[in-house]
Amino acid sequence: MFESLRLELRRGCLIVAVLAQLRHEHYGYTLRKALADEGLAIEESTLYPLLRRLETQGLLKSEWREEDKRNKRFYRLSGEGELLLEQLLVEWNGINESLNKILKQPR
Amino acid sequence: MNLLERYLQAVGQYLAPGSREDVLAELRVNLQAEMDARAEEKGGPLAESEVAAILKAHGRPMLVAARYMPQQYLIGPEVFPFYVLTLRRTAPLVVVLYFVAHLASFIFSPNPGAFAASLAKSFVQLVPVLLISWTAITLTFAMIEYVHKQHGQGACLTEWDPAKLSSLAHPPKQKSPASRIADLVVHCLWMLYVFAIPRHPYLILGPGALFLTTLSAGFAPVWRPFYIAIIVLLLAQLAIKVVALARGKHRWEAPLELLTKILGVVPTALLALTKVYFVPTRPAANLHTLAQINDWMNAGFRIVLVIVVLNLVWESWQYFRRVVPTERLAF
Repeated sequence: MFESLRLELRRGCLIVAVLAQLRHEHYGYTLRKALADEGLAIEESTLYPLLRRLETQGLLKSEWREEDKRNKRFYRLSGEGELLLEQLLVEWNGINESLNKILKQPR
Repeated sequence: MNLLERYLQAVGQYLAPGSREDVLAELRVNLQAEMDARAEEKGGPLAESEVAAILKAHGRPMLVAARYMPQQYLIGPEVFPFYVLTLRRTAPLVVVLYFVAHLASFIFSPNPGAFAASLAKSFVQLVPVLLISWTAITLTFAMIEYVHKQHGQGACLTEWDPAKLSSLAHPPKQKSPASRIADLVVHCLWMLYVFAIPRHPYLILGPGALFLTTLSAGFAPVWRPFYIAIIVLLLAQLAIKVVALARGKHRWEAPLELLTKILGVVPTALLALTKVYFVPTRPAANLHTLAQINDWMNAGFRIVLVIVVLNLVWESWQYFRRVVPTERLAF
């Protein structure tokens, strides 16, 4: 029960976190590592397909580039993605404030 | 790295050809980076078991590939409630229509054995009929989903008018003590009437009793167990009514009433499975007319049996819908 609710809660937050982290360019592995370093570990099999989906939706842009003698696909937030991230953050802050108010109410 | 290539090959088998190479190239880089980082932590190359552990954690190839595919469903979340509702509403209808369609085969069965076989066969054949109806409904809703997805999301499905809500349903009125007493009196009168029938057949046959006398015919032995079964049922119903009058409304009242209705099918089935209702009392009896009367009565009782069974199925369904939580019922 807790696990399924936890996953449901995380699902939306992860997208916001990925979009926010991609304000700076990353390729799949370094993005996962950066998120994990901030305390938000995501499974590879979830993150990599999510990047492609967000790119298909126009929120990310990507390019293949050589780095350390390896061709890597680098992602970053698109213009549309930046706009959407701002809206999502407003929404996120609103939810957060409301939740805090509710939690502060005496039982 | 052989294991990594085998893993990528396995994932590639389930990917769409258009994006396969691109996805695999990206996956290879990411997995290699992961392995390099682990090797750096370890201070040396990874053993095959360590590579296998990384790949195992990454996921089963088929499932990994599925996550790269667009989300697919036959019936989406907006259409699904309508689909379930349709299945729930049509299933009883299909069952009733099916048995009505088979009425003729029950009625014109040549003997009780054939009747029972026909009934059993009908129940077995009901399974594919239900499956076909569910398949047809599922395909119809899959088409609705397709059209819904292609042209305008939601408008027609979510649109509704509060003014069209049905008026408030009133809970069933509880029987007042006066109504229970009246019910008991009527039941007692009904029992007196049934008790009087063997001595006064005209009470049930009317002018037909006279016709039987002129035909030199009398009741066949089947009426005796039928009569006893009816008396037992009436006594059981009398006991329920008396207890209900003394103790008021009880939760066991409805299931007991249903049980007596189920037992009530037994005498009807007894008559439907019998072919001889009237027998000659003198050698000079008109056997041809008697045989015709028996045949018509048999057909009549079979129709009654089918109606009684269908009514019982309906009432049982209504009862279980009331008492069993919806999620525990098949529909």
